[in-house]
Amino acid sequence: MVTAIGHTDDRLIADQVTDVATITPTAAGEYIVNSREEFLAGEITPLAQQLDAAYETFQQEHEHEQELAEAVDEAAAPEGLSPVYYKAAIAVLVLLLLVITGLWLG
Amino acid sequence: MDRVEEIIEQFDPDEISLDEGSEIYEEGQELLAEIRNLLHEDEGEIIKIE
Repeated sequence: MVTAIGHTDDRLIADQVTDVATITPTAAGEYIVNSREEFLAGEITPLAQQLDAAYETFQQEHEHEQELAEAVDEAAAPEGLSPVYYKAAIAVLVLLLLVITGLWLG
Repeated sequence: MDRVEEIIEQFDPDEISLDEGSEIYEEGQELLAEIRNLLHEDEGEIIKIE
């Protein structure tokens, strides 16, 4: 609350209970505008910057964790051919062995 | 403003998912925009004492 009554010789109740007492309406207007700008620059803008920075760090940490999880999955995956190919190769070898044994026995 | 400060403290990747983080970030942005609007648009109340 800002008052702009003036009459500085008088002791006014409104001036006593207000947050800021100014002498003229112009001074009151200037005070309010300056306070608003100071509040924006000193409180809101830094808070907005903190919010942006915290969110950016949060995103980077999530991306890093995701990359780490993918790297672990990749490292844990078996190398070389798929197990299906090994099973097929063993089946062919067993079949071949049976054919050879059958031919050998007559 | 207290809520925005709370949101800033909540950005812990071990605690919340990326989607949840995006949601509360949006909430913080909206709150800050609301404060800016109040400061720029609200004319206040002028009382004339006779």
